[in-house]
Amino acid sequence: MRRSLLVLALLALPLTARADSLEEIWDRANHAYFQGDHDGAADGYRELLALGVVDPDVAFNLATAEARRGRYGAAIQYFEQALWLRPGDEDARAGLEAARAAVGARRANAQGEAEVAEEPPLGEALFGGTSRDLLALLTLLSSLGLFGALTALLFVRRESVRLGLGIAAPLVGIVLLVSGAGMVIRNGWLEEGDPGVVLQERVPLREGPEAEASERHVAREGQRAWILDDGEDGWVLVRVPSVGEGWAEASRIGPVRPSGR
Amino acid sequence: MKPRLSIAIALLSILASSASAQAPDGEVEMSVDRNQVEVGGIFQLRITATVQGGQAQLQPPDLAAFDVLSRSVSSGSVMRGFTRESRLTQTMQLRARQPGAFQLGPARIDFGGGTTIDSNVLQITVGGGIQAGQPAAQGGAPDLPPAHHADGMAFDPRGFLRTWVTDAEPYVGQQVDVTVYLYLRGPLRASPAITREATTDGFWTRDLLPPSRSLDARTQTLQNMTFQVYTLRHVAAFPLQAGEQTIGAPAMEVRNSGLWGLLGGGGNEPLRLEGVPVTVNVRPLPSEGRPDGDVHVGELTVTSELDRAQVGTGDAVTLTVRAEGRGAIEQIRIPSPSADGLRVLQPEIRDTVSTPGGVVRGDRVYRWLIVPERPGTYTLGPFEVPVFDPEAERYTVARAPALTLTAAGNAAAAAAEPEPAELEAPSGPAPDAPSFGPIHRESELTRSYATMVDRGWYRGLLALGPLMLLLGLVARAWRRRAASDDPARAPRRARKAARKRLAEAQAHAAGGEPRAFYAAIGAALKDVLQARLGQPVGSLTHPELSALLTRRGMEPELARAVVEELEGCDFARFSAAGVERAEMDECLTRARALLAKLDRFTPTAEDEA
Repeated sequence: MRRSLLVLALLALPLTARADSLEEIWDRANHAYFQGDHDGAADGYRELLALGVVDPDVAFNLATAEARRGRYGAAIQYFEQALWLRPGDEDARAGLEAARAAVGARRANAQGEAEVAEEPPLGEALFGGTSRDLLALLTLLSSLGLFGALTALLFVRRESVRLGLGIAAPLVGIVLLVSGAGMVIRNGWLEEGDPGVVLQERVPLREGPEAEASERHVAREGQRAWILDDGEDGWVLVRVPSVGEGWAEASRIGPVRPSGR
Repeated sequence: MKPRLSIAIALLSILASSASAQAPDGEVEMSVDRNQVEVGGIFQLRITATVQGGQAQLQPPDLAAFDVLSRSVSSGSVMRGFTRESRLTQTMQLRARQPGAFQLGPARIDFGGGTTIDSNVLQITVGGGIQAGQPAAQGGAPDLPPAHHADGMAFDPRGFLRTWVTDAEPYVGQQVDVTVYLYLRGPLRASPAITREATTDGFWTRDLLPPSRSLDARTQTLQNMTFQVYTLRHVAAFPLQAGEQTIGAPAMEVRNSGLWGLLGGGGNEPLRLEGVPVTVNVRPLPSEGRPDGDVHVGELTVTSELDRAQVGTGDAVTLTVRAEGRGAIEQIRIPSPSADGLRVLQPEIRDTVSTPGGVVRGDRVYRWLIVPERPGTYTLGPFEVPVFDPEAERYTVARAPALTLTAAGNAAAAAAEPEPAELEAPSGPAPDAPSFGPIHRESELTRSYATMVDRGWYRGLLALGPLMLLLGLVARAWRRRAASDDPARAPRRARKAARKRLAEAQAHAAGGEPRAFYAAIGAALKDVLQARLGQPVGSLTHPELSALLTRRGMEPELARAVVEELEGCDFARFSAAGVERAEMDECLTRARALLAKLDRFTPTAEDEA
C-alpha cells in the first residue's frame, strides 16, 4: 500500500509543478497588467501560449493587453481566438468590436476616413455563437435517433408505434442536417484556409514569397486574411477578402486558431 | 396517413414560424466627448446603431455647422437566436466653425417603408475662439509652392504631380507639411483617381484637409505656362527618426479637358501622372544640453491638479496632468507617479488635437486614480517633459510643480489586488477612448483544445447509427430469406396464424358479425392447408381441393369434412342473416377439431402422389 502511494505521489509531482508554474506566469502577467505594464502583461500571456496553453481567458487577456498597447491587429487576432475557443463570450465580442472601432478611428485620424466592416458569412453568423461540443453532441444524438427510428421501423409492427416513428424520423433528420451543417462550418471543414488577421497597418501582398517580389495589393490592419499556404522562409500565401491574394510575411499575419488547427 | 401528415405539417409550421424573420427593431444613440468647445476646437461624435432582424440605413445628423475632419465606420453582425443583429458605430472628429449654441441630431435609422427610429439630441456650445490673434482653423488649401523651384516634380506641359515639403531638413519630431499638388493646363472634367498615395513611412502624420471638400483650382505660371493647380493632399508629418526619409511618389489618373484634350491628344484616354519621390534629410536632435528622457519637439506647457488634497486612507483621488502645446501631442509620455503607500491605477489618457492655421496642436490629459493605503503626506510629481524648440534650437523643460496629498485615518486593509472593474474604469469610460477590459482573473489554463469531434470514440459513435440501420436491413433480409427457405417452419407459422384467426372469429361471433366470423374460419382452414401442402389452395374449387387433398394422402373422410366446412363457411358468408350465436359456436368447435387433425396430417410429395 505504501509503495503504491509513493508511486502515485511521484506521478503527480510533475503535474503539480507544471500547474504551479503556469499559475505563476498567469498571476505575474495579470499583476503586470494591473500595474499598467501592458508590454509585460502581453509577454506573460504569450509565454503561456508558448507553453502550450490554449485557453480562452489567456487569449482574452492577451487581446486586451495588446489593445491597451495600441496593437489592434493583434488584439483582434486574440479576441477572435477567444471567441473561437469560447463562442458567445460577450466580453470577447465587446472587445473585438472595440478593437475594430479603434482601428477605424486610428485610420480615420491618419487618412480622414476609414471603414472597418466585418460581415461574417451567414453560416458563421448562424453557428458562430454555438459551441462546437454542443453541435457535435446534437449531431451525435440526432444521428443515433434518426437511424434508431429507421431501424425500429424495420421491425416494429404495431401501427401506433410506427406512426410515431414516422413522424419523429424526419424531424430528427432536420435536426441532424442543421447540427451537422453547423459542425462542418464551426470546424472550418469547408474553409479555403486557416483564418488569420492582418497585424499591421500596411502589409504588402506580393507576387512571390520574397521581399523583392512586386507588390500586388496592400492589406490593412485588422482585416481577415485566409492563410492558403504556409510557405517557407517566413512567408505565407493569403487571400484578403475585397483586397486580393498574395504573399505576406508570416509575422504580419496572425493566425486566429491555435497552432496546429 | 392523414393524422400522420397533419401532425408533421403542424410541427413544421411551428418550426417555420419560430425561424421566420421578426419585425425589424433597433436603437440608435449619439454621444460626444464634450459639449463645449471653442471655435476651431475639435470634438468627437459617436453614433451607435443596433438593428435586429432587418436592413436599415443610418442617417447621421445635419453637421453643416461643423467641419468633418475624419470619419470612421465600424460594423459587424451577430446572430441572436434566429435574429441577425447588426451593429454599426460611426465616429467623427468634428471641428467647430462658428460660435453659438447648436443642436446635433437626431441621427436616424431608416428601415424603409416609413419606419424610422430617432436617436437622442445633443447640445453643443461653441465659444469665441482658441486663442486671441491666432488664425481660426481653416480647411482651405495651403499656399502654393514657389514657382522658381523645380523640386518634387517631373515637369510635363500637359500636367504633372508635385510633392512639396515645407522643410527639407527638419529635426526629428518637428512638423513639416507635405502637400501634393496637381498641375493641369485646363480644368478638371471629373474627380481625379489617385492610384498610389504618397507614402509617408517613417513619419507620424495628421491630415490638414477636411475629408469633404471641393477641389478648387488656383493658377500658377511655371516655365511660361499657366497651370490650374489643385491641392490633393496636405498633411502634417513628424519624422520619427533621423536620416534620409523618403516620401513616396504618388500616381493618379485624370481626365483633362484643356488644350491637350481639345487638340485631340488622347481623346477620352485618362492622363496618367507619376509624381517623384521626395527625400527629407531628418536631423537628429542636438546632443548638447539634451535632457534625459523622451523629448517633445515643439512647444509645451504642463499643468497638474488633484481633485482633493486631503482624503481618508483607502479613498481615491484623481490626479490630472495636462500637457498642452504644439507638435506631436499624441506621442507625449508622462510616467505614472509612485510613492510607497500609494496605489496608483493605470491612467486614462485623452487626446484633443486640432490644426488651427495648419499647425498641429492640442492637449494630452493623463488621469490617474490614486488610493493612499497608509496615512501620511505624499508628494506627487513634479511632472516634467523635456522640450526642444526647433526654431530657437534650444531645450527647455516643461514642468508642473509637485502636489501634496495628505491621507488621514487608519491604514487600509491589506493591499489586495484591486478589482478589475475598479481598475478599468476609474472614472467611467471616456467616450473618445476605446474601452477594453477588464481582464479575466481566473483561468483553467487549459492545454488541450480537443473537442468532442476530435475524440476517437466520437467518430465510432457517429458511425453507430448507420451501422445499426445496416445491420437491421441485413437482419430483416436474412429473416425473410430464412423464412422462405425453411418449409418446415411454414406449418408452425400457419398454425399460429390460424389460432389468431380463430380468436378473431370468436370475437366476431361475440360481436354478432357472422360474415366476418365465417370469413375468418375459412381463412384459418385455408392457411393451414396451404402451409401443410406447400402450395396455394385459394384459387381451387371445392372438388379440385377435395381431389388434391386425397391425392396428397389425406384420409377421404377428413378431406370431405374439410371441404364441407369450407363450403359451409362460404354459404354462411353469403346468407348470414338470421345465423344464431349457437351455430357459430358449433362451427368454431368443428373448425378447432379439424385444425387439430390437420396438424397431424403429413402430405405426400406431389410427384409421389
